[in-house]
Amino acid sequence: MITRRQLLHLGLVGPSLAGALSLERYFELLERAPAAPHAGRRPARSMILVWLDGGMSHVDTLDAKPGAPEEIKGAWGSVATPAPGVLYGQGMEGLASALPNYALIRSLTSDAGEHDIARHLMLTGYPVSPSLEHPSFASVGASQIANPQFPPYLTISPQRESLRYFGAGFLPPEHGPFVIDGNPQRKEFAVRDLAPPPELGAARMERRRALLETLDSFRRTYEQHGEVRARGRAFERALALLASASSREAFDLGKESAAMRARYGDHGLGQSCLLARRLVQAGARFVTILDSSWDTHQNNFFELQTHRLPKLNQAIPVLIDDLKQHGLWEETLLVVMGDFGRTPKVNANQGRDHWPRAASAIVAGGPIRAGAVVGATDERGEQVVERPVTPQDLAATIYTALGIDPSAEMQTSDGRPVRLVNGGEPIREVLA
Amino acid sequence: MRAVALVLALGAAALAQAGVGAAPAPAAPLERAPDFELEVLPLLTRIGCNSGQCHGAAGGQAGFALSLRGYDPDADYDAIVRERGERRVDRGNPRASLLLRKASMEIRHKGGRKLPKDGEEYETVLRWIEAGAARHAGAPVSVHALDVEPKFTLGAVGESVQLTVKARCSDGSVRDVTALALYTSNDDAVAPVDRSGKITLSKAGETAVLVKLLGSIGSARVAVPFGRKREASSAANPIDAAVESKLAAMGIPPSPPCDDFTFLRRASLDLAGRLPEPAEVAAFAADASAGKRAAKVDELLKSSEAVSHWTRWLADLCRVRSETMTPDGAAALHAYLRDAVARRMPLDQLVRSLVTAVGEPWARGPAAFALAVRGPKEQMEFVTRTFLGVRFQCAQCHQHPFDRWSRSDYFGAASFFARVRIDKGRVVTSEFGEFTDPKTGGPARAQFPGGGAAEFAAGQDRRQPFADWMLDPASLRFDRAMANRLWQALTGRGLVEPVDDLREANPPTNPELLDLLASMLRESGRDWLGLVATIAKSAAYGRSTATVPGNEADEVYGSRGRLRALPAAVVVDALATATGVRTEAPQAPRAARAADIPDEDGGSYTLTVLGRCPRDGTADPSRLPSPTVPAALHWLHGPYAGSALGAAGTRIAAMLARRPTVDAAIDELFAATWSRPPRDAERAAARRALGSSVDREKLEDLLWTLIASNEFTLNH
Repeated sequence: MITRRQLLHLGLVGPSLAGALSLERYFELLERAPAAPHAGRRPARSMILVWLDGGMSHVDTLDAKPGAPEEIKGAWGSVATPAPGVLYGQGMEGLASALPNYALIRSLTSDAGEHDIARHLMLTGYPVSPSLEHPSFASVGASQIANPQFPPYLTISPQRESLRYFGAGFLPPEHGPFVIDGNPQRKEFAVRDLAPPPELGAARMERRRALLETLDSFRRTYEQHGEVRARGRAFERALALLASASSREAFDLGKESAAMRARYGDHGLGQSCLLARRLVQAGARFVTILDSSWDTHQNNFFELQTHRLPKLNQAIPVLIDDLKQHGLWEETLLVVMGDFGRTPKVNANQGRDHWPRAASAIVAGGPIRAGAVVGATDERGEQVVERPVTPQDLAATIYTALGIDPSAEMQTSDGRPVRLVNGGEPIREVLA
Repeated sequence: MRAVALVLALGAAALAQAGVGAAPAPAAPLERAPDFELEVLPLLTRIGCNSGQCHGAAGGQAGFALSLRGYDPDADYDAIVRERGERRVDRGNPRASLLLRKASMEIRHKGGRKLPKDGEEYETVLRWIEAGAARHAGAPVSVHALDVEPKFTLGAVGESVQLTVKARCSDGSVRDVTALALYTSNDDAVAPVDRSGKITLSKAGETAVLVKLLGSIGSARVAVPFGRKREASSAANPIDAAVESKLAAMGIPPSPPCDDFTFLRRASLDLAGRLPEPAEVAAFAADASAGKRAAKVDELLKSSEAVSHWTRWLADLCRVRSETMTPDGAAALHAYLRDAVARRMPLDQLVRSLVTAVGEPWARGPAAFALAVRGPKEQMEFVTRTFLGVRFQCAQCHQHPFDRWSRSDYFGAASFFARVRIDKGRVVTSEFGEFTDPKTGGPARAQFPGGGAAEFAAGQDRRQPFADWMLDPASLRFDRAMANRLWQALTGRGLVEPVDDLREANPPTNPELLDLLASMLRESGRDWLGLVATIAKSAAYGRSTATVPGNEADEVYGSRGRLRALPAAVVVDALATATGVRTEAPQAPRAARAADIPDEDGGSYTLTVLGRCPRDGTADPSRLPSPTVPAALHWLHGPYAGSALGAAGTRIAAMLARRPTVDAAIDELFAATWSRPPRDAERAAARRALGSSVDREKLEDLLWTLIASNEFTLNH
């Protein structure tokens, strides 16, 4: 009997053996690989989204075109993956050998070619609308959680300003993210206001709390008032977070061994992935990591080769493996995606511009069928020729994988009913 | 039973022509062919065929696209009768029409069974096809406007009211369309409405019922008093007379005036964005003169802090920020707004200068306003939403679902901005540029929303006549929208909410009061800060937040003061006044106070985490910040929590230098934070906390406790 783990090893043996398999045989093996009890059936509890901000060049990464003319592939090489006929760009070895762990979508397609418009579409499942800002998947999910003991939705991003459309949209603002800004790789990185000023000892804090309790009679007078209740709720959540040592420590990467930190990589993305794992472990339901600089209008190849791909190929496979080691893989959905694909034809600045007609993405974990490969583009990487997947389909897939009915309705503040997803179908090929 | 009633109503509807020159009713109404526009399309609308989730979605559903809720009958007629090789409607074999077979689920229909075969609605559509599926049953008639009666009903729980809807038609006739219209209640808890237009009063409160027929819209208001209706008492201030007349009709008793301490605190925060100093608290309490509240209002509005405060209010409205305007442009616009506030420039003059500005933003502040949003259409949306409270956006893609705006209205209004260009950072107007009218395919004609076409002199900036129209004193549209925003700024709630959504079906909670405020603004020559003063001097503004029996449920009529959050900049400046700790200086060297920071990107983390208004259009500037977990953590552990509270330059450091008694220290800290002396129990608790001598650490603990409280962070 072949297990998933054995299959992984099969993949790791090398491209030659994988190449010898027929695609049919590969899927047959996947079908026969038994799942852990309930695995692949239960919806995921948490979601980690790695957002490749600016849009990743699909033809250099998850959808290589070695047969395409020079004007498209440039001098970029390709590597084999365990899935026959599925080739990745050079520098993608890490993700290539990890393919049996995740589902690959190579046929994402939309007409949203501008960052803000694409972000809104990809992060909410809705085209941008001047009259309504939709909530992100994560905010929708967070809004379903009644009494969170740990912040249900957090973002990790170098800059706060770049978080447009990651928030609560038309839902109440309390469902927006707990923003962790700064780079977790840096020595001085710390989540703001988590630690008390050093001169405030526990005794003094307790004195203050007691005094506040006595003096804030205003709170008792107006305890039924919405503002007072909302403020009370925010303080309760903050205090619950502070009261639990394990919750506080979730934010502290210093609690990880040097070896573990090194495994993820000494860079912002790696340390953000490690932090995301710690947060999910502590009870976070949605963690979104913003990985910037994928908008490679200039020097695409240099940027990919020296910065983006080494970090991505180190961090993501380690994150997958680490989630498994911690028993979190079956309950965590992992999504790696960005604004859109990039023009297959290289521009005059050795860059690639926006290309929404074709893009690639990774979905994994939870009930996602590991190793599934969905869709294909033409030999130039320009058009989707097989199994087009719209951002709405992807949205329906994400909600379904999280156990949320994509056809459920929300209400806007003025009472307008809005479906979670309008016009998308879950991609059943990736849902086990 | 119900189906029979419906068909009779349908038959009667088309026939009940009450207008001048109406045709006599035919003897056998059921034999008459139904009219597509007046009967068939409204019927399809009522059963939901063209809703936003079915064929009314942009792009339709399953290859069949209708206009959203039937606003474009010509296009819908084509889609139903002409597309698909006329299979949807089969005149030769009407029952085989795809329209009927699908909607009755004779063949698979994802939308389900909408027209049961034995139903009268099915019959109506069938009769229309049998009669030849004509675009018009007789001479072409379309609906111009809807008249809904009764416009306003005040009744008790359990009572019901049947609406009557008359359509004024293009042929001059008036037709009863009660059975054809669509009804939606803004608040189903107060007054649910059924398909026939019957409203049931279900709970104390007030709401509106929206009435739609294809592209036309009407509304009716209903109210259920909270208590027994009473005689209105007389009031000197006309604002109070309008508030009291509404309260009396709704049977709501007002709360008594708030005490002087509360008034001083509230007015200082609302009018000048600052907290009173302890000496001011004492002086105001000691002042025995009768007109001291009114005098304080005038004094506050004359202060330099008031200039900063209202400049910040305008800068939020105008979305002043470096990212879109460049740092120099943002600074120039901010300085311009500040000067306009300081000189009390009439509001119409200010708005006109912003809306019609040209030139270099970095040299001339108002020109930066044109950079606040990208693109001419977006400019039009931004200007009309901000200064008229009109939300045009929906109408770019389809007929506005809750308002009367069509796509032609949208592009007609956008035309006024079509020739604005940004050239090397400068705002210029060009000789060319038009939008395409989506309906005609030709250039959109500049047309005032809901009004006539505009004529331009050669080379004239089209925005000039638009500003004339917008600011026209004869209409109160600008005055209503701005008076509503100012009422919201002072009381925490607009008479219309959201404040940027003024439309027929979203009526004010007190229409007489809004009209009064708007006329006051107009009569004063748009002296908007004068209106602010008048509101602040009213009894309604000065009421206690405490309830009295009978007004607990009132959130909207002004029977009591309203507890509310403070804008982030006001909290930060209040913290600076109360504690002497400043967090703004390093990041914003030009601004010692948060209210003076020109740009939303400048300033401290405190300002961000406390929820300052993002000036990128993602938030409504009238929306006050909501509490968040990071903000709570900031109170607990941030710059106001630790020993910074007692460091050099702070209030505590200055107090310690004076070696005050324990009681004097308690008095000062209460006055500096809660703007009042401590009550006996509070003084006792504070004495216990401080012990017998005044030491820095204990003072820090007491001060932190006071600023972390609800009484400090909320406006009350």
